[in-house]
Amino acid sequence: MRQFIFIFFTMVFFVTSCNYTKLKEKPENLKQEFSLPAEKLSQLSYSLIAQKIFSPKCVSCHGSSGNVNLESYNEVVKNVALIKKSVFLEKTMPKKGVLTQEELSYLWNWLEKGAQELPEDGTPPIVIEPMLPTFESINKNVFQVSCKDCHNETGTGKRILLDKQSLLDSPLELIIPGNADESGLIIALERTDDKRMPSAKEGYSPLSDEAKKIIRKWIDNGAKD
Amino acid sequence: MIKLAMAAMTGVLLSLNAYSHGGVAGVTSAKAIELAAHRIDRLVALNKIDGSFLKKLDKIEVEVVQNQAPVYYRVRVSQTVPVQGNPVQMDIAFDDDGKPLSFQLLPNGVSGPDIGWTEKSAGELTENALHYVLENAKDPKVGLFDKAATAFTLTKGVLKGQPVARGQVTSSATTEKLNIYLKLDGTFISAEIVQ
Repeated sequence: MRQFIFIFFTMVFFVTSCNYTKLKEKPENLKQEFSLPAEKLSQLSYSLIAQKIFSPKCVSCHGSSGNVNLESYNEVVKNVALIKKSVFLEKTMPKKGVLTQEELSYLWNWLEKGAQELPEDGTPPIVIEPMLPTFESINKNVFQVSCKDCHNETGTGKRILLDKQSLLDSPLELIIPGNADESGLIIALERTDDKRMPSAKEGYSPLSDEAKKIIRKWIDNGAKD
Repeated sequence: MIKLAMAAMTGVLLSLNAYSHGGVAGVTSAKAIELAAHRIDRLVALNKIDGSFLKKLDKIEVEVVQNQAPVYYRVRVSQTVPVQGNPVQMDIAFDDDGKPLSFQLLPNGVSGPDIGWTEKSAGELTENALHYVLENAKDPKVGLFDKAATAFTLTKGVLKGQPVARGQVTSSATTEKLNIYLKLDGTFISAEIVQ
């Protein structure tokens, strides 16, 4: 009986101590772990963080679909505490891929310094390049952000690759130059059933109307550039 | 001399035609069936055909067409229950790379049971079942159903007490049939080759 009680309490101790460690990740430790040189600290701004982290690593899921929205500064500042908790304390985000040490450092310090929109040192904020109706821009802003995890040589979307030639050559008529209305890519992006892309089942938000409009324009212009 | 020239020209033209259809097509006949399933989805999305081709899809047959270049495959799609009136069929023409060239509705459909697929449409179940054939085409036995598929039929059945979708592929290269079993949500369960 004594042995049983001893084993029981030992197990309880180990289980609760694990939980304690997870929930009490100390901010002081994080400060050391994610330190940045002063010149970089003074450059931190929303646009820098958006360009380095939110746009390429988060917005594909955290768009306008009802999740925590990370598409604009006004939306991000509402969720600062939640971002800190899920990325640094509970480490449940990001779900797709990982943030590098440098990205984590930028994000941690930006949040710690009050998630300012503009840099402290007065330098003009980085201008986020607008998406253009060219393949290069669409690829960078859409395919590489919201599609490449599945649509690659070994992913679940391997039957449909999104390099320009594959899009143009596909028997599925993904791109019909000059005819966005009948192009499979546009139909996939604009449909509202469970075949919509990017896939809701995989946790992705629909593309913004602006992004869809630009892709339409690229196709209607002949999908040349 | 003229007769000889005519004969030579005819021979050249015939051999060119034979070459154009005698070589290996860019896509296999199973791929042509799969592309037909995708084409149905596209035509329904564009409101060019009624949605029953997607929801009540019954059978897709494929044949290689001779002497009608650029048409290489003609695929016939059958539905069991139309939106209204009598069932119709549809022919879709593809070139040898699987590019759709045209479609035509035909008034000679045959009524069948309304299976009432609940989770995925018949069209999507067909796509998923054919993905099994395409992904296992290197298997010598499955390969016979990839290269020489003649028809795909979708029915509902029961496997180990669970309702399933069964896609059956026939081939001109064998008298056997390939059965592919999917859950009603389109998830692959198993496949077997039967007599």
